Amino acid sequence: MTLRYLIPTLLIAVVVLSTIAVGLIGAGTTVHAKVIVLKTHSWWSPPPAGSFNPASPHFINIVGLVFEKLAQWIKVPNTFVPILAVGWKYVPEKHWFVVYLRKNVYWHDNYPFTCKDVWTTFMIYKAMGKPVWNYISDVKCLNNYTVVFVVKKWGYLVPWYILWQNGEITFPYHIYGKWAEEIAKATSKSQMQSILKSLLEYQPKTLIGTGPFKLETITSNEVVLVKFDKYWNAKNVYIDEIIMPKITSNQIGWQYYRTGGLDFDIFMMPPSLYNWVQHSSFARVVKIYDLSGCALVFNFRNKWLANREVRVAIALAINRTKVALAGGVGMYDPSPYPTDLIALQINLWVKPLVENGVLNPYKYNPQEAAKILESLGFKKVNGVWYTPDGKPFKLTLIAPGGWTDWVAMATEVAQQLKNFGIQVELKTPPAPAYWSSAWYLGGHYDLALDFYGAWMVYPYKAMKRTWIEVNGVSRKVVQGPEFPTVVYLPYFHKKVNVTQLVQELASTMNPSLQHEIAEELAYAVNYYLPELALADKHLLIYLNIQHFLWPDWNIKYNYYNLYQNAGGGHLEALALMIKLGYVRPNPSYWGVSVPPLPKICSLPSPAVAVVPTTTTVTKTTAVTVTTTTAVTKTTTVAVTKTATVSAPSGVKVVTVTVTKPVVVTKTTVSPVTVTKYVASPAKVSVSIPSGLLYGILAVSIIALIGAWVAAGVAISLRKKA
Amino acid sequence: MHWLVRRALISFATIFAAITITFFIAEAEPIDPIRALASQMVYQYHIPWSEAYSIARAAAPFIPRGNPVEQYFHYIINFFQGKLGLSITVATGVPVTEILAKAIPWTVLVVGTALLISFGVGVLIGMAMAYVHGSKLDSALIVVFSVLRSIPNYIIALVLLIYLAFQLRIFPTGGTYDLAGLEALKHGNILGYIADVLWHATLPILSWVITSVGWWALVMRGSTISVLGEDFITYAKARGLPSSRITTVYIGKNALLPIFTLLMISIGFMFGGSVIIEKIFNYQGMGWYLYQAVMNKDIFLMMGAFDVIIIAVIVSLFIADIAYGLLDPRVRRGGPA
Repeated sequence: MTLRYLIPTLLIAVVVLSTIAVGLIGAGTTVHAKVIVLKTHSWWSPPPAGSFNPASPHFINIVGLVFEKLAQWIKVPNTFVPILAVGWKYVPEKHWFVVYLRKNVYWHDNYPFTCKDVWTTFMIYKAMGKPVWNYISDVKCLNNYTVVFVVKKWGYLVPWYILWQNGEITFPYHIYGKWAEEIAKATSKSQMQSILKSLLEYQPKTLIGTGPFKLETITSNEVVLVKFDKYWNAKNVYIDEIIMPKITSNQIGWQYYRTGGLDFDIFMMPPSLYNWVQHSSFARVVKIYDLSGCALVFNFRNKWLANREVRVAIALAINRTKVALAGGVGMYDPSPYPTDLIALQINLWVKPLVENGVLNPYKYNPQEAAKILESLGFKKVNGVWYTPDGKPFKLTLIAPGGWTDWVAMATEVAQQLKNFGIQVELKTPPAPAYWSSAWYLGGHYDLALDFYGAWMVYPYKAMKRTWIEVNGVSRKVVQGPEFPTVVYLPYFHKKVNVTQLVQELASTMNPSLQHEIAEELAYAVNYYLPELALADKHLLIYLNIQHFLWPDWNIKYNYYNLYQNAGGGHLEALALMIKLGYVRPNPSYWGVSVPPLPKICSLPSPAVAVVPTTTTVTKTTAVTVTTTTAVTKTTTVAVTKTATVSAPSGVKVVTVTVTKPVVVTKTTVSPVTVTKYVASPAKVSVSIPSGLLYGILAVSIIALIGAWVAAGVAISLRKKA
Repeated sequence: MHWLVRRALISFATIFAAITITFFIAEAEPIDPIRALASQMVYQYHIPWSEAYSIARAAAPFIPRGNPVEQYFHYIINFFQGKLGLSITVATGVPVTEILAKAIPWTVLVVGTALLISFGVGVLIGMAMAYVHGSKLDSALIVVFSVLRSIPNYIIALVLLIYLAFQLRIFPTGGTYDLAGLEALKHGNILGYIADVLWHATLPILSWVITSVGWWALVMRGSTISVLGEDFITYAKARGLPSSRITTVYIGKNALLPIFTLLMISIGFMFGGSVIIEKIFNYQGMGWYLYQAVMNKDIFLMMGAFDVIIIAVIVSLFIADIAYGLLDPRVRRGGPA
């Protein structure tokens, strides 16, 4: 065939085939009446790039919808909603964390869910080195529905790791039991690694979970899930099918938003789209906290940046409001008080410091910044700052390439510092290189961007990231050997070891001690500025109100308990609302009848939840302070007092010795009130005034006597009968 | 025959050298694949670092051990045995050959079809432009094709996606096939499945065609104009040969000769796919996997993809060398240069 025939033939063939394709697809599409379909995006690829094997780094982990956790962590009130577990308790005498499992739960291949599945999952997690194994030493089944975690180090985060963070049960015993059994017998890390390798080479044919939806199909463009009829709460699930188009960029997500192609999602939005959606007839936006933010990190290897005053000057030379706007209108808010805690955490954890005016907001003040630099010997010549040794003050700022919001903020910071007179060179290495020893983690920068807040309202993760390590690398590597571990806190008049404080924050169950530590650490960040929190990040949840009825987000309870969970992953938040029956088809769209949503969409509580905390009993004791020399100026002395307090029934009575530094001035009048301290990790958190304590004791005794008398009367009556 | 053997040996040596160079370039990248993968997870899924790292560490048993030279020899030995190793981070534990075998057909379908169409249409238009060169139509087409050629194909892809897929909903937003195609296949409706596949391939193909057809047209135009002025064309016209014969045999064939090599190189590079277009359309071809491999420092998958491209380009050039000799007697061995 000559060229002149070949080309037109090919063209016609393509056109004809495309037409046939369109026709066939159109003809093949069946309209299923009243099949309620919800759409939200996904990011998974089918095998081989994605994997049905839960041990694979590319596991198609449709968390919440296909796979479930022992409990759902409600991030802001910091509570747990029972999912696969119905209750839990800590038994301190045995160091056991006992979890009671839900009955009548089935895997998608119809096998019943039992304790063996939890055991299998945690055994494989052991080989994978999941962090929960830093806190537990063993997992045992007491019976089919009771699992025991032997705790080696009890702490605040233990329930969080077991129930939620590593509590996703993905390995059914009937499929993965043989590997779990081998792991249980393994005696060395190399043995475990070879078992893990063999496990990774196993390629299952589909996903087997326990969630409300099972996998129907996955293509390179979408995931389709269908309702699992044997789900334990199937009667409350109003959705029949979930279609999850694969969307890997915001721009494509915006197209779906504009055309109503998604029902619940969380793509970043430009202001124009945000306004458009808010004024559309079919969708709304709910703004929540991401529980993280973007901070400017100082490298202490640079001798000028190692000086706190220089860091303060830089903080004052940056207009954080403008930086936040550069990151995205509505997406970032300037950090109100740079403490490496987001505004929500500041409000919950360090409010007294704000109220007492202790925290420095570092408001934009270039004049003050200039004064500070001048006082340190810096000179400004022709609009450029020169260091005391006569060289131009030049800094390199790095940001991860491809992270558009961060790069925009870094560009703004660089520009503002340039305007102030500090020469800043901005470099944007690709993100994988940025988060490696070649750049940020190796300390190759003067200024860099990093996360703060760390996606947890409890300040431990945030403070650990600031003071101890970032992505497993010590701050002394990332920010230089000069990075401090012991700092003096002028407001608290004491020196603290920040590393020890962070570790104590992880372990203590004492709420007042938690607040005290949080305040000290946040103040230390605010005062020393190892990094400058620039802006808190927000997320924008898109809801299609034409297709579905959603819990009222203007009600505080719903907002914090349901929507705020989407910070750090929208699927779990959506799944929780669906499985509790709080996402319902809009009758006017689907033509179905559903009961209206309650105003307050309450969450279920665990049947048993005994998580002990340290008792805090406030007792005021008069203390006479005697100094070795006459007090002529403000002096700090250590005061030690031993006291035993009465406690209500069920609370272990302990003798507490309190040693606390007390600042004594000539005008100090005794008694000085000394509160708190550290008991062993035991029992219930109560803070009871002494009078009430005696009242409770008296009532308890009267109640006991009453019960005894009543029981006696009942027995005698029965005998008579 | 001696020339053929020498040419084959040179091709083989080129492949060997190219693989060696790319291996050491890939190896020299100072990024720990586990950290790269974990960092991506932290950003994408907002999971704590320790969690992400423990998941990513599952890939550790698949990371090659030993110094780069040892790894290189190990790699080369395996390469000649047809083994390209196991994927480290993109599809942990899956043989690279298996991944490539699944990816190549999709890329060949899209890029091959697009190349065929753009080459065919471009050549025809280019010839037509040469005939009317200097006219207003010619000038207008030069401007149009120059503009189209200078627009990156991902821009065209996005425009097509927004208007034809999202706004008009004529074509799907991406993927190689969807549930309807799978259902058709399940019920033995092969035609339905093929139609679904073609339907999904239409926009990626169009993105390629729109941006490359102009280039082929402009190249063919230049080549044809140079042939039009040759003596043998004047002689053919003087002989009174039919114009269709002059156009196809005398002009077309001779004008095509210089762009034949370009076509063969394009066929070779076709196996590399288009990283951006495949990413935009979630089309899991070679380009898509290459992107994933580079982002996650999956050295074996990266090398596997490079190997395929290198071999395809060099083999195409080898074939072009042979075919060129057959097509043009002037460049045959012993002939005039």
